[in-house]
Amino acid sequence: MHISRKSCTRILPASSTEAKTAVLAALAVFALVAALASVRFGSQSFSLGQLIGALWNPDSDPVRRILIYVRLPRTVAGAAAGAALAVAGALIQAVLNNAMASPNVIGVNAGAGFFAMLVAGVFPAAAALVPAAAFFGALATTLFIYLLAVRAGLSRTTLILAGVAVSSMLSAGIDALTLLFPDDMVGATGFLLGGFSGVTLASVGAAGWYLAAGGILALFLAPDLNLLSLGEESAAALGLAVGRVRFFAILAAALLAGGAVSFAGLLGFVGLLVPHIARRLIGTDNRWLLPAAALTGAGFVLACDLAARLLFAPFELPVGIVMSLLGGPFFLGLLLRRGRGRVYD
Amino acid sequence: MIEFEGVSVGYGGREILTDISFSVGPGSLTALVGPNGCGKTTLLRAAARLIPHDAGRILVDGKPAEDYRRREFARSVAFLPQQRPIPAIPVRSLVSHGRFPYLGLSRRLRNEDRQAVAAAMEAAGVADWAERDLRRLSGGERQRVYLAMALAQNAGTILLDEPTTYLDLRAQFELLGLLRQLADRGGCVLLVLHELAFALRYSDRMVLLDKGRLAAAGAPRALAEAGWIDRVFGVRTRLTDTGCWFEPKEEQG
Repeated sequence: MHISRKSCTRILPASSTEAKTAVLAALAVFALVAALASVRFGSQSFSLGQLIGALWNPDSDPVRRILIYVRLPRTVAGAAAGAALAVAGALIQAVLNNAMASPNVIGVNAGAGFFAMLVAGVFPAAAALVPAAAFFGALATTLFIYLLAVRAGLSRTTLILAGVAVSSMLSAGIDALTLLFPDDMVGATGFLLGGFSGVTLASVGAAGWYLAAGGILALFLAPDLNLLSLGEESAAALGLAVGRVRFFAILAAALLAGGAVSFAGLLGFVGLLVPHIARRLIGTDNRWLLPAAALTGAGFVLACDLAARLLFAPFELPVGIVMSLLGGPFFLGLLLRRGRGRVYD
Repeated sequence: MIEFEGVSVGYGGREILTDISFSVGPGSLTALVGPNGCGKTTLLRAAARLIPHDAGRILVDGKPAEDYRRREFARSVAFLPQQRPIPAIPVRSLVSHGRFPYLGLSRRLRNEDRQAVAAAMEAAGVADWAERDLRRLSGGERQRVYLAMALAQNAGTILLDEPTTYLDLRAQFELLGLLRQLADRGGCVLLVLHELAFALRYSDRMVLLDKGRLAAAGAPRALAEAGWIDRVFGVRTRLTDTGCWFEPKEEQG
């Protein structure tokens, strides 16, 4: 493999424990700053003092109302969705041992979205079922793609293409649902593009258990996932229960992606983009990578959401558009790098 | 120590190996040789429990392989497959994966694990590259790093599937030299080798497979002198005092 001089000067991931801890701390500060900015800025901007004071004010105070019913839910939703989709992406990349995979690319988000919309369309009264349906859709799609990879022995590229095919079938299903149930899909445009404009704490809370369970499971699996990068046979020869680890990692990814899609809609590219950025910063060890991806994802989505709110204020773009505009070129760059023979993962 | 007793292995409804019996004891480097498609890799994968065997017994240190718990088995048998991805990890991290069968639920390395990793890197001659990225190493260097990982596993038996493939001559000598040392220190090494000259030079036993059956097993030079290599490979073996070479059969006078 030819290594150009230029590639030697690129940023190397942190290698020592101290350096990795410092990177995690910096990412935590980034996420925190993004969260504070997300609470402060919008169609109306407030100082931190105003916001803290508003917490003790009566419910009639307009600042308090904006804080409690708009800004906080939006910030919590953005951080949770960003973290969940980023970790889901890192998990799926580890399970498939494929840097090009992500919940969005292989159709996991579309699967979650399709089932969420199906339930919302057929049982409009049962809002609490939406996260469960999204989880089911995400799990079914991930398992399907995984079994396709195992049974048919698909190459990395073929697997991505198969994912794209599955993804477009599910997108067609989503389009059909918006035609069948137009009245229930008032928010469908927002859902399809992904965004947090109408999000409530209740809808984030309903998905919270899924996100928490997925996150804990992911952290628990992190050291075992590291062995998968050695290849299935080497991992099995070291005594890893490869099938079991992969199944639980898929379950965790489905909990996270399904939970996030149930309130944030079809957010593209977070699950692809963020694990790659995090890997650049902190390396491939999943024990560090997963927390780093969660913090980067939270900060990145909050920053994009803020940009979506502020760029054309008072008009607001769905955050999905801002993110895809950033994510698209990154994905293309990744493809070009691989094309030049750089092994990325 | 690993023993095969009348082992048969099928794959997709087709029998690939039939009634294979031989054993590799401690202190032995045994080369598994045979023409392409004769079942060498299949036998190694069955020994590593990656595929099941249909008949016979595979005993590891006297106990049937299938009676071991997963990680207990990995503490007794190390296996290096021929095809492996090249992950972006530092050498030390890769070698540390060899300690996986010994780790508790937290999967944290204890002091004795760190010592085993350091000793394995020293033995395989990779200690100087501990912090280097695996992808930045040459094929021969990577193979030694993988060997260090297998050594860190501290297993009595080590199985290797064509470890010298893609290595230049010098790297092949170095790797086989390391494996020979390992056997001389009491290890039980069973490896698939394509290069018969290397098998003759480095192994103390050779197991010849032909069309899924055991053709012959014994001291490499004795097998060559008895014409077994000629019969199985359809070549003519020329032995000298220090080595050997091979000629196609049609050139013989």
